[in-house]
Amino acid sequence: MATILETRNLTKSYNLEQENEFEALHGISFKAEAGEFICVMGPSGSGKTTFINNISTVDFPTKGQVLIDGINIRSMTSNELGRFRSQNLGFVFQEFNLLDTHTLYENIAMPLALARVKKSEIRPRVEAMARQMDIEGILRKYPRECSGGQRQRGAICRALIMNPKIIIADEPTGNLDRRNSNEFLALIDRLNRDKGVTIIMVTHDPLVASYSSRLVYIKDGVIEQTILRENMTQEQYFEKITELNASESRGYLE
Amino acid sequence: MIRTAMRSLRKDLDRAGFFWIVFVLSSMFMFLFFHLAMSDAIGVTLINSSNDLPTYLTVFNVGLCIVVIFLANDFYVKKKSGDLAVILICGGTYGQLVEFLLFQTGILMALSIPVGIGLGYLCFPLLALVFWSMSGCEVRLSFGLQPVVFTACVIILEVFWCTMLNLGYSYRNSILTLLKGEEKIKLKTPKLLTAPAIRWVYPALYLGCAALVYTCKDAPERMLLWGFAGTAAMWGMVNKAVVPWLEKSVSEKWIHDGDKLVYMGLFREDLKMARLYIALFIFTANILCALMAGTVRNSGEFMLCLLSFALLIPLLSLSLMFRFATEASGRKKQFDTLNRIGYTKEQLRRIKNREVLCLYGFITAVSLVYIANILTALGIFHLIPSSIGAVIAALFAGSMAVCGVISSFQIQNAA
Repeated sequence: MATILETRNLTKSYNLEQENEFEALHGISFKAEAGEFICVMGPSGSGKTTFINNISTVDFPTKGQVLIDGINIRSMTSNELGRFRSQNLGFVFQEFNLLDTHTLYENIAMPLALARVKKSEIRPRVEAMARQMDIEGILRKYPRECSGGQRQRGAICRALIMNPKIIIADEPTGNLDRRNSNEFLALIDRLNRDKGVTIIMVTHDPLVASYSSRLVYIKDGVIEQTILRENMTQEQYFEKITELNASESRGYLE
Repeated sequence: MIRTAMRSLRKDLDRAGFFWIVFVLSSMFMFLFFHLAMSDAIGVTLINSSNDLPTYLTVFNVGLCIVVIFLANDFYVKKKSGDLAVILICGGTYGQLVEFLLFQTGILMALSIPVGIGLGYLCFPLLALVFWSMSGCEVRLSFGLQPVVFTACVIILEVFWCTMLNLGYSYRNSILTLLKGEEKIKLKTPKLLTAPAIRWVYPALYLGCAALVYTCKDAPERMLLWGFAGTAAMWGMVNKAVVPWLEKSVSEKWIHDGDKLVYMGLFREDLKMARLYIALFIFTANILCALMAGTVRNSGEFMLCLLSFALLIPLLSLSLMFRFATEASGRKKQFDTLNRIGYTKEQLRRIKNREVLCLYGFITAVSLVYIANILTALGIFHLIPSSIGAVIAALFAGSMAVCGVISSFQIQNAA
């Protein structure tokens, strides 16, 4: 498998050269192969979101490099980066991040409009995607008129509509009930298996993490452990993840 | 409780700032107007007042300032609903809520009245000069106690009523509703009024009423009637024709245009906020123009009307501008999201500029249909000099243009 995303000595500091300067990530080197499903876990404040923001071009590292498909993101201009994001990356967030001023249909169509897809193609594509997510009947609604699950599905539709190579998800199930959460995971799993989409997802939930093929555990700004699922059943993998989390909590007890 | 109120003020500095500026501008305007109206040249006295035009004008101007402050208060307190809920959850009483609310508005009021009166005092020589050069009536700047007392009284009364209103808002709503914040209730309109064919009646009425002002040669006060009917038609036109048309166009016509899809969608939301201001613009222009037509033979009263226009229109424009800026500054997250899904910085800059252009352009055009027609009609009937009509129209368009440029600058730097 080819490397689709790589970080070399990724370091991120905040409040540079100020009294309260703080290094959130300390020289992380990491590789993601095309078609992998990676979960990022770790205690609160460990640097998971900082890590995901840096690998997804939302933020830039203080030191080190981020390469997507072999291209160093720092070498791109802001316009190139925008185009690159629109063509290669799909984002799903815990807070959905849909535009409240636009209907679900308009939100989902936005990446297509940005890519200058023909007007006649937009409606069928949005409707087909919405059908898959079971939100076809609420496309004319505004996000504020939808439930959390419906909004998250809308956000997923928007993330997937351009058939991105990589999906970046930050706690995507954090605001969903168990049923919606399971549906989301089944969909992500299907995309990964059937279409070979690379998925990098931050989560706190061991059950969600058990769908992945690799678990990256970040603690205090470094990758402390990596667990490969390989031939494990989902149950065995789930137990291993739970064990890792429990040992972390046990450490605090002691 | 006082410390909590202070913290709450600091937490929402932008909204508090907007509220404060509205207080300052209103008190400055009221002070200037009271000073002018109560001068020997005009002679308004609110004690043993007579039912003459300057008295009506004074009441109208003060009333409009009160409306502007109420709008700002409404906008401010909706954001505070979370804080009110937390106080109630922690066992606070409604008495403590009064303390919390009164302290915040009290501080803003205390900080604004001296600034407003001070600014008014500084602006007064210029105003007196304009007044004298155009009407021949001399108004001397005497720091009379009456205008200050009246201005302070109006603002203090307003703060009291605002506090009562805010308290009523928290009393009517459950803690859960307060925590969720602004939840809009969709009011149902009778189907007949929303039928596709009826929708286009509103624009026709709006334009028709504007045209009917030309029929009021013998009775210019009838213009008021057409103006009010036009304001109501404008409300229907924005709600039932313009917004639905924008909804349809954004979803169908402009869906393939990345920039237009975003800025027209944002403009559609802005319009819902701006329609009240458009109504106020038309309403104010309508009343003042009609009053002006009736006072053209008395230069002092005529100038008083003209100066009311010159002060009220910028007050309304600034109030709209601050309201828009405060709303737009909360859109940082939306623009971050757009950036994440692939919009470049350059595109976002363009989108923000076009949104501002659409909003201010629409408000200016819709209000000018009335302002320009009323003024043209008054000019044709020789009720006001054409040059004055041109000055008034230019003043309105100029105020909007200046506020539009400032809004554009603010929104570019806020997000």
